[in-house]
Amino acid sequence: MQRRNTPFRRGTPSLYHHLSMLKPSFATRVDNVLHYDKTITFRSEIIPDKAKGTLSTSLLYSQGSDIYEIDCSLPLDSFYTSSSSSSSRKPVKDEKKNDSQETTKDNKDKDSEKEKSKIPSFDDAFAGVEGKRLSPKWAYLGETVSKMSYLDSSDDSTMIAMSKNGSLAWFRDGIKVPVHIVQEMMGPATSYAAMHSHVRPNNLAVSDFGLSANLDTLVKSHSNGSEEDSILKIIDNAGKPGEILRTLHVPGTTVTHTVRFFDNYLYGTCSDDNTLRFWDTRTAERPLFVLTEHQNGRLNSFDTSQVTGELFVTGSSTGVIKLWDIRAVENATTDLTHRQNGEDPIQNELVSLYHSGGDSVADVAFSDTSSSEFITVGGTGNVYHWDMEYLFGRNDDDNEDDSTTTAAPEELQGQCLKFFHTAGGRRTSAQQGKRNIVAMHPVIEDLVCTVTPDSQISLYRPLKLRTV
Amino acid sequence: MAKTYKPKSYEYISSLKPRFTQRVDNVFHHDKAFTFSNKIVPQEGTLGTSVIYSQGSDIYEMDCALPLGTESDAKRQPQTEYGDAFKSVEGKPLSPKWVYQGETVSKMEYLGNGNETTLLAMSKNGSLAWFQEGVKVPVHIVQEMMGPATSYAAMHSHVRPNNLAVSDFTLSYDNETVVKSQSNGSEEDSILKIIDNAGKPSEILRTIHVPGTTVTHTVKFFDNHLYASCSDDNVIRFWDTRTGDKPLFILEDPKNGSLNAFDSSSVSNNLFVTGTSTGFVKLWDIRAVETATTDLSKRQNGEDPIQNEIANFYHKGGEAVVDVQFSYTSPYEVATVGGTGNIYHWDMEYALSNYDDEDTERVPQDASEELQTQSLRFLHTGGSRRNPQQKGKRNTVAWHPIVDDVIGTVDDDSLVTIYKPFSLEESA
Repeated sequence: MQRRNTPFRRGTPSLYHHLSMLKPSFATRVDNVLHYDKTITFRSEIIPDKAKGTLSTSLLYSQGSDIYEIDCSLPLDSFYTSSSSSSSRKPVKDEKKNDSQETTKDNKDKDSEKEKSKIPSFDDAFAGVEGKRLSPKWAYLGETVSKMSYLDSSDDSTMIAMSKNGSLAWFRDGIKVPVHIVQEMMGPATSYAAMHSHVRPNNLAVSDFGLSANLDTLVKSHSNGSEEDSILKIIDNAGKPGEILRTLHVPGTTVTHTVRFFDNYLYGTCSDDNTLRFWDTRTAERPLFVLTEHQNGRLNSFDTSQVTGELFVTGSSTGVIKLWDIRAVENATTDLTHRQNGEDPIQNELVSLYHSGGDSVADVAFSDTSSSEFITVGGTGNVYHWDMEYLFGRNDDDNEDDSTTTAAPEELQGQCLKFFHTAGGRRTSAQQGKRNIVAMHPVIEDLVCTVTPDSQISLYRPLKLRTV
Repeated sequence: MAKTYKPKSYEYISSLKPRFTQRVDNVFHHDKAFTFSNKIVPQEGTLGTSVIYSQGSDIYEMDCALPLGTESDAKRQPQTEYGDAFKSVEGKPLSPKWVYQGETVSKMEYLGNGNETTLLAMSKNGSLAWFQEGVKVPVHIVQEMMGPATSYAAMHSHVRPNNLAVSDFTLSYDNETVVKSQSNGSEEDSILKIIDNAGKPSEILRTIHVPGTTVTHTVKFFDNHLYASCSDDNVIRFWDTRTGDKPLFILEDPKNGSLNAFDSSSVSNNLFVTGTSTGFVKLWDIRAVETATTDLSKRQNGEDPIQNEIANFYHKGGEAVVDVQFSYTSPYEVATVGGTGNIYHWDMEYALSNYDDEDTERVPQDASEELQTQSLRFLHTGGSRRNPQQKGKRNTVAWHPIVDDVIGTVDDDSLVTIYKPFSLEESA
């Protein structure tokens, strides 16, 4: 592990390897895009085309009940060349996005690298779809999609979508309507409510689902709203997709807002009592162990690393982000040396970070390609890119007392915050950050897409300053 | 082409009566279990593999070399001589590779070298031990302290009567979950334990009671989650590791004596076979069994569902079925073990070719002379060494996991035999 000698940096300049934007137009008339909830995610397929010099992938975008697939092609050279040559490429300045949308087409000529480096402008990943009217690839009629999860086109189902009332729909390539459904009839899912659900207040989605690493099992959470108890459902996604295997009650909680798997069986849930509960799909109806976090406001978000299977991140309403190791959390519950009189276990995070200005954490997402990187989404819609490599390089597993005081918080913050995407003047602090509006590409490193309430889709890859 | 009963002939057959570095009083007193490793090493004209053989608490690995099937089918001839597959170990005294001290191994499952765990072994009292390559003692243990597992009983368990092993275990296809069954012997209720084999091998995740049964003698997975248990109330219960404490659906088979044996096909995922004490072998389709339980058209007054097998077969002379094993390489081939130790090789292709899962009227195909001759491909009797007094045992016969048609078995007198039946069909 190299020692980093960079001076203390507060944030990094907004520089991009790649930045493309699209405001899609639709084949069907859309009254007011601001009225519809939006979510975004990537498909995992990538198609490199050496002749054209492009790397094609696509993203899935939902607006109300409609789900669109939008192709995008990225310049191949920035992904398949060494870091030295990619750093030689001049960064594209990010400035004044509002009035520069038209410049997107300015640099169609990809060969003119020099010109590109001079004129700060946007890239044209969406050139193929720009100006074309989009038709929905899938539609979940009568529902408002609140989360999408791409599976694999070779599977029985291509994609799973969840609606705001907690219903689930399985979609397949080539079939516009769902092939399987788990319909929730409780609370807001009455037909009247479902038809009007897109105008309900939406501070935080109150349902979520997580998929096991092998995609065989799905666990979804939803709350009945009025009752003092939220529900988990274990649902099959292997032999009989959509079959409800078991229903679990999470006692004393009204909303369980996040469910994430660690591996094929172990999963964690995060509820409004600020408690993370860890379960195994195969055990009986009690959590294996719990983690209660009383400090730093409400727990808003939670995600697990699929690369390590052991790390997870929590985000709170006061802007505090914590990185944890599930092994340490579990060991603390079984280690009775400090809790002989029935004290609560001492469960410490590996590290604690924060959003600047106490910007609440609306969503967190671990990278699928790196064990040390994750992004967090602020209440204003800002996207923070974190890389914990600096911490892991210095952390010593055996010396647990040190783990929370690895470095001065300021220094650590500066070393770990690698990038900050604000999208310029289009954010206002009044806007509520939403979940599932930012996604990391599952295969292409560092590629992120995000959507704003006015349906502006941005695709970017940050240029991180790495010192050698 | 009309087929008749095929003569007993082997493409090859090799036997070995191993010698041991430690003195063994009387090999007949020790229980034995047998399985293959999944190693295959092609060498000059042969295919190197190994067999795993347990005797009491000791587990031995013996290398063997199978003749490579390089000759064309037309030239293949049944062998009249015994082969020399065990040449490399012949005469050499064997040392145990693994030892499960104080226990009698009743079943082994080889996981492979790539895994953290190489071998999973169960003892007669239902304890489980995880063994690793290069470590002689278990690396993880689930020890059962109930019933026969007291230290006295464990030490002496090899002299207890052993009609049927009363415990069993099975691994999910991804090897991440183990389900084991055991009975307390005296109580009116047998137990299933779901045990982790991924994050924390040997951690007991859940205990499930199988109500109204004393012995659940067989458990077997169908995929990563779905498994079945077969109990002494002649009921097969189907479970999902992720559901609550009730079976998904059940299959009752009150006819034809007690259900002794059960296995599912790892190739087709849908087929399973049961064997009874009266010598019946039945082939089932799990989809049809489940559909029957949800089809209420014929059971509006609470009748039991009509669950029919695809076909049934029988052992000669009503010889009890003590074990059934699906082939790992073919969806059609099944070996059944008779009470005398005979091994029957069945080919289900003929029965399945007449089976249409849409047409429920034609099932079951009853044991007709034609079906029997079309399906029974081979009978391994082990020559004069069998007599009707000998009790056939479970887990003493195993298919090779990779090489087609190769079966190994161990006899009471510790004679290890591997063979490949010679099939007239293939040479025609």
